[in-house]
Amino acid sequence: MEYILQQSINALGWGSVMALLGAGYTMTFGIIGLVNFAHGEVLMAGAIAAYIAMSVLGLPFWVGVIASVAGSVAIGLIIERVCFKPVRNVGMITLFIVSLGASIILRNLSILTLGDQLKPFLVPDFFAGVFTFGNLYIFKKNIIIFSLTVIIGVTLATFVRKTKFGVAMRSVSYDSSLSQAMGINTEKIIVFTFILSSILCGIAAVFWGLLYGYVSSSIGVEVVVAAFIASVVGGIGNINGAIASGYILGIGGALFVAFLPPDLVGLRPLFLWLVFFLILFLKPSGLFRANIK
Amino acid sequence: MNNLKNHIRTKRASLLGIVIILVATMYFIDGYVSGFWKTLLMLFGINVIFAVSLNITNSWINFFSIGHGGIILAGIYFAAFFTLPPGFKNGIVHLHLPEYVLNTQWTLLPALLVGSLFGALVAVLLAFPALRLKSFYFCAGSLGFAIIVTNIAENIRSITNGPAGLWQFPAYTSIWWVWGIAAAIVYLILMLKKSAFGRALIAIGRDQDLAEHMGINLLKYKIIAFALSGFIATCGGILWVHLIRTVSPSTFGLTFMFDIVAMMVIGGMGSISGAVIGAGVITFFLEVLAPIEEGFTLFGLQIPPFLGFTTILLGILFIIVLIRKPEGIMGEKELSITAISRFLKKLIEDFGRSQ
Amino acid sequence: MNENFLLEMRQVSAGYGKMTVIHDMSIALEEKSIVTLLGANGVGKTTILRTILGQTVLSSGQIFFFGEDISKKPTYFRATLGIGYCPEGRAVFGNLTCKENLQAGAFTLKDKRRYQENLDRVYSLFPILEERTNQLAESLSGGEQEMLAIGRALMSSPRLLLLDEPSLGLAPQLIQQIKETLKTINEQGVTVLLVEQNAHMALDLADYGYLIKKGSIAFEGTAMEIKDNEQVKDVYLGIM
Repeated sequence: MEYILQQSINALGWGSVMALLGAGYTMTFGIIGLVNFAHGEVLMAGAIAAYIAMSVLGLPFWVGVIASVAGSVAIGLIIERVCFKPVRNVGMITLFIVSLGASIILRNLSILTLGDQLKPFLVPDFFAGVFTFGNLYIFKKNIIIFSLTVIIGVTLATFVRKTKFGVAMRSVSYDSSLSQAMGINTEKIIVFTFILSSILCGIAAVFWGLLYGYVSSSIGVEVVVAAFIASVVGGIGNINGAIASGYILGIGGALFVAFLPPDLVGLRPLFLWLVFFLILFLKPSGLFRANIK
Repeated sequence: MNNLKNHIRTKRASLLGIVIILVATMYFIDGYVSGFWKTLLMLFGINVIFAVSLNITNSWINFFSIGHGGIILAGIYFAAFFTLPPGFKNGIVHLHLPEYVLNTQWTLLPALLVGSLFGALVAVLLAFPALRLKSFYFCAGSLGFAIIVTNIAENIRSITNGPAGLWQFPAYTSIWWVWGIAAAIVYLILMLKKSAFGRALIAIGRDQDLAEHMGINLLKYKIIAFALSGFIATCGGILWVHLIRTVSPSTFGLTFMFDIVAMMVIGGMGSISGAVIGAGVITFFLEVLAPIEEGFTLFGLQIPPFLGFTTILLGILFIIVLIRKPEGIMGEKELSITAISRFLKKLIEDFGRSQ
Repeated sequence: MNENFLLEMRQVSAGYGKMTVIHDMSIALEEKSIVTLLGANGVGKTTILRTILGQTVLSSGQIFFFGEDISKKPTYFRATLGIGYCPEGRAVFGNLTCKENLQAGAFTLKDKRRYQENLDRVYSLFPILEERTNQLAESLSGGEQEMLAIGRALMSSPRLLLLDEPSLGLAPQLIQQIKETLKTINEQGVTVLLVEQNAHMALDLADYGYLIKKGSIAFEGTAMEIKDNEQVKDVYLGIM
């Protein structure tokens, strides 16, 4: 029992990253039906920006955070305007392939200019340290990241639930042309959603750096699948669902690996896909309610 | 009546003409072309096979698979067990395979058949999600399928040698094998497209429910479509591996899928002639620009390696095509022999008139 | 003559993609009138409404709202000018609650007081909506959803209300209720453009009407003229 608890606590950090990415992903997925394969590269852009600010330019941590968010938002907006807007009404699969293309381009651009090696992410001392609680070891950074994510999640949920803008976002999610007839400028909503989604990526990028101490040009590929599956499991367009699913997948994945025989540890990525297929066959609309027609 | 007879005669003559030209070209290439260009032409043919196979599932029955890499990988490994030299299987890596397999070494043709059949079987596994999942979710599921296959290949080291992959493949592939098989496949699938079976597949792609109501057994047709697509794709893969002579679980990943999808899209989704054209364009593009990735000397200047450059260019080209001309070069249409001969006749007439 | 018209479509041809559904159509709505578009299924009545909103491809002609050319303006802009829309088939936002649907309808309203006034007005017209205020719209019954759709269209204090087949599939009592509601709204100053299959209800309410056939106007006139016209009776066999 304790073992399970320990594994779960260890997974809180990674679960938070997935929660934030999933939330951002489900927003764009819900609003424009776009399966954005380049979402991982938005994260990577933020991570690289933070790396440049902190490790290369030697700027303090808080500047790194701002750089990360700025980097993610910049790339997110560029992708949206250049790749997605022109093909807005062409169909989900075309959009997906375009996003695949964008993802490959961005990743290779990064490898081209900065190389594919792991780049160090400087973790401030504030985040180091372990608490003990009985026999459990709780890393300080896991707790901080988890708390921040919960706060962000609640804020986001309140925003989407209570504000006029949130209602507009959800109505565009459900029926975009009807929303237009209500006077809602769907273009603005879409751009805003992308910005919001990218901000989440920027924050997640900082969390990643804190957790693993490194970033690289290829981290996008590792996370985009997780983000996608989290949003499908959580119900498309459902931000709270995606956040919850991020933790379910994160903790579930950790437990899955913990109970695998040692030489099969490489099967870890399979857990996500297992859950994916399970959900799609048993409850295709997701564990929680979806926000689309 | 005479017109019809003439028409058939012209068609038969043109077909014979094409075969003769093809065989002559093969002779020429085999004898006089070598090295880089020969390899490029062989890769062209192999990519044609890949692109044609992908058209069947992604365009005809409209189940967009990006998981064919997994099918090809599985089929290649299966064939590899038979074609790799026993010295490699026993000595250099230690594969835990049945006694007979470890000590034998097959030639290309039986390995092609057996490997492609295995690939077809693996492909049929993909047909089952195709029954339940709707368009985009199937696409995502196919990605998962490929990742799962790759992951399994990396982890059952005793059978597959894990991430290190396999090498020391015998150099079985020749220009004859590649283009002989490619030409046969192109011809057969072109015929299939016009046949009742092909039209049933395309009907499923257009409107699945309507097709079902017209009496088309979705289960049967989807399974056959996936099996066929998998068979052909694996064929191409086995030819590929006996040319490049090494493979690993990561070989047929997303970049590979993207290349083939690009060929399909640029040539025209659903068009077999389009697949040929697209494969040609992209293969040429990728191979000719490949040196840029390693760095080269131009007029005495050392140009540094630009890793990933070709992929970036391809990606940009791809996005441009999707935005400006989403139906590709050929659209859904095929080059027909009559159209070509008519075109040539007109060209000759115009030339004659201008004299 | 122009200045009296709230809405004017001049020789408008429009449709979807490359296909033209309505041809060379001219329609004029006087302020504070109730106008109806009649015709069989598929003749283009819904397309007319959607063209007014800007959700179709306009191949020729112009649209004027209070004398201002809105032909090239995007849909959301036209909505802010005061055009309310109730699409056919009980189109509600299923993932929003009753109240949130009404909020969405009031999106263009800046004045908090007017929002509350409109909300109260809708609740007094359709008390059941107040009962169900926090329920998800997709869980409402068909009739309730229709009421919600109409109420939502009213929330923005529109000057022109476009309604597409509000009576479709509803019980007779409800149809009567909606008829009276529309009369009340019109008396309060809202111009109504009503697409209806139920010619009875429509001609009872309307001052003026257009009979649409294959994307063009076959006949237009006052409600009285339409009811008496033989040609119309031919086209509309059995419905009167």
